[in-house]
Amino acid sequence: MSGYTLEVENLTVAFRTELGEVRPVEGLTFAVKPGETLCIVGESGSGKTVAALSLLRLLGKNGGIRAGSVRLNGEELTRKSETEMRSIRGRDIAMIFQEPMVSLNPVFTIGHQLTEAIRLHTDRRGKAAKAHAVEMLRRVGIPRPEAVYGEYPHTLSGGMRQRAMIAMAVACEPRLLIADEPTTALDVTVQAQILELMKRLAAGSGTSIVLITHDLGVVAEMADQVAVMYAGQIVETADVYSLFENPLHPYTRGLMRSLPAFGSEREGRLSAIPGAVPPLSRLPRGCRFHPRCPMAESICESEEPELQPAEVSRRVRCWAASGEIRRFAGRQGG
Amino acid sequence: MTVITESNASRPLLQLEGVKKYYPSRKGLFAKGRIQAVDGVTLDVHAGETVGLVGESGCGKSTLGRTIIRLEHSDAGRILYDGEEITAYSVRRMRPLRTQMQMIFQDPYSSLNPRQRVEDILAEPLIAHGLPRGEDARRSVGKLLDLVQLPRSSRSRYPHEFSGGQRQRIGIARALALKPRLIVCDEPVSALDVSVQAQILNLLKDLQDELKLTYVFIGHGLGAVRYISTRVAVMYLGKIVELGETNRVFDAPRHPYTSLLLQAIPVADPRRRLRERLVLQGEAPNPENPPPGCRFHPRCPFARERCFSEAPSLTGNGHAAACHYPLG
Repeated sequence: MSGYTLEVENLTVAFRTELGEVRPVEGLTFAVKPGETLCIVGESGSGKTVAALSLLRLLGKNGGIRAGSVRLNGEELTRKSETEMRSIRGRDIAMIFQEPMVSLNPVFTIGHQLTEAIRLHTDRRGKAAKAHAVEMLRRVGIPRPEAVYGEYPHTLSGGMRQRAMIAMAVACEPRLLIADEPTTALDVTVQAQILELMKRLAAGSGTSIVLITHDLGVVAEMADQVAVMYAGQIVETADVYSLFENPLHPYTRGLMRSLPAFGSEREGRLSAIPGAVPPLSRLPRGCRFHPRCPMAESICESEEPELQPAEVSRRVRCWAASGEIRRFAGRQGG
Repeated sequence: MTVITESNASRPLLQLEGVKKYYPSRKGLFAKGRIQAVDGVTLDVHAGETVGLVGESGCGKSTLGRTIIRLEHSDAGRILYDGEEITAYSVRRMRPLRTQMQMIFQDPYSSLNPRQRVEDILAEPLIAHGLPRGEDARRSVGKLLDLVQLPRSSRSRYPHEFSGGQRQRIGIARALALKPRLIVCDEPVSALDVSVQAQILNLLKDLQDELKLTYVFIGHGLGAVRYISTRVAVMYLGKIVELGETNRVFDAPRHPYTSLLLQAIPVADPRRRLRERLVLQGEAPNPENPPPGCRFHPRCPFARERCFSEAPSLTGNGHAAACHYPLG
């Protein structure tokens, strides 16, 4: 056993489009330990959602894993049959989405959907399944769980629906929970409650979490490890403390600087990253970030940087950042 | 440039007095209910300032924004624009004032006609109000594109050819076409990527300085609201519960709701994740049936006897709070 719940290595996802093949995710590598939370942070178009869906092999008929490997507790998922994947989804890997109505069926009661999942993936049947469902609703902080058990999704508020979806996701005690922007559509007050809840559940059951978000505040609150994605690639990985203390990639630095500071008063202008994330069909040559990068040099325009080991257990995909490190290492050696 | 005379320097550009907006609710066939979306808001907005409106979804901030510029009829209270009462103005009487008040929307894509070129989108308000046509309109469009820092070549392109941030620039240019004095910005950066939000916030600030604009900025992201607002109004269930200068409200909130709202914001510093904080429990109650007394009392950790029955009014000089037992 590797000691990791999830190991992703060099994962590349391709989609067929009218304009030819595009690769929304390229060369993704990361690993998550039991009970740990990995945050994948990026803007729209970074490939973070496709990355999440590819772990579950939910890529539709035009998409597929082109290269690389995904291992759950050491077991390779990319070669599993669709039937095998179906029993893994929900039992071993659960997923929650930004908009819970996407995954809740509007014509069945909350209780019906919960017990169905429980019967499918556990040994609980009949009264035991129902009792477990009600217990799950209680555990995620839904008031009057017995009553909500018999209600339809549309009668619940956004926050309550998201709780119901989390109840469904964790009811079968998955090893891995993938959460794609689970709080983006919610008010900050409800977001705080949901994040608390996810933390508690992970701590209690040893479930690993892959949390996808664009919000660096959420990352700082939740992550153990962080992977920053830009235009389909990971540009930086680090433990959360190192990342915030000393972001190495110019994109990560730009993201952090563009946040309106909160704790302290700040006057003047925000520092914005110029331009926008490039569309997949028009990725720039060389480093994908170079047209927006304040540190870009001539090499960045022609050569694509690799994700290089930087400090202890950190990696960065940047000529300038790894150059700095080499110079630093040279000084240390001399 | 606007000439500031003595009279309009002292008089607020916009005055709201006890403004109410109700929506009928559909409870059943005969039971008539109403949702008090905005329930007695009194607020002055001075020329050149930015008033931020914040609160959870359903608090009435967007409805208030639309009511202010008369996109919605108010059901009670008075609205004065530049000293002139416009509360009951007909569509026709509002028309000359329409040029002076504009709105910027959250989702620029759904508010821009996909079949129109940028130049037609920007010229339309000019033509609708009988302003320049032909070559003059063309020149105006060029100037508008300069103002929002889009290349002049954008004029012949369609909205789908632009990124989200650029589309919001088009939305802003359209709002500026008629040289307004007051702009209601309804979550203008909420749908944009983090790195692009900063570009748009900077642009809004520059335009305000350059064109002496007055903003009412409705915000979801409290960071953006803090950055851009001179003063902030915090709303809860249709009422303003706290109003004051931005830094004072954010640094030393007086209403427990404001304090809890601010504590709920995730802090982008992992070393502070174990900080002591109160998590606001539950969700805002249904505005159809607001609780008696202080509307916040069922969720307030500091509520006492008096809060259950007696509604507090917004009091305090400069930094006001609607609370019987304000903090600090």
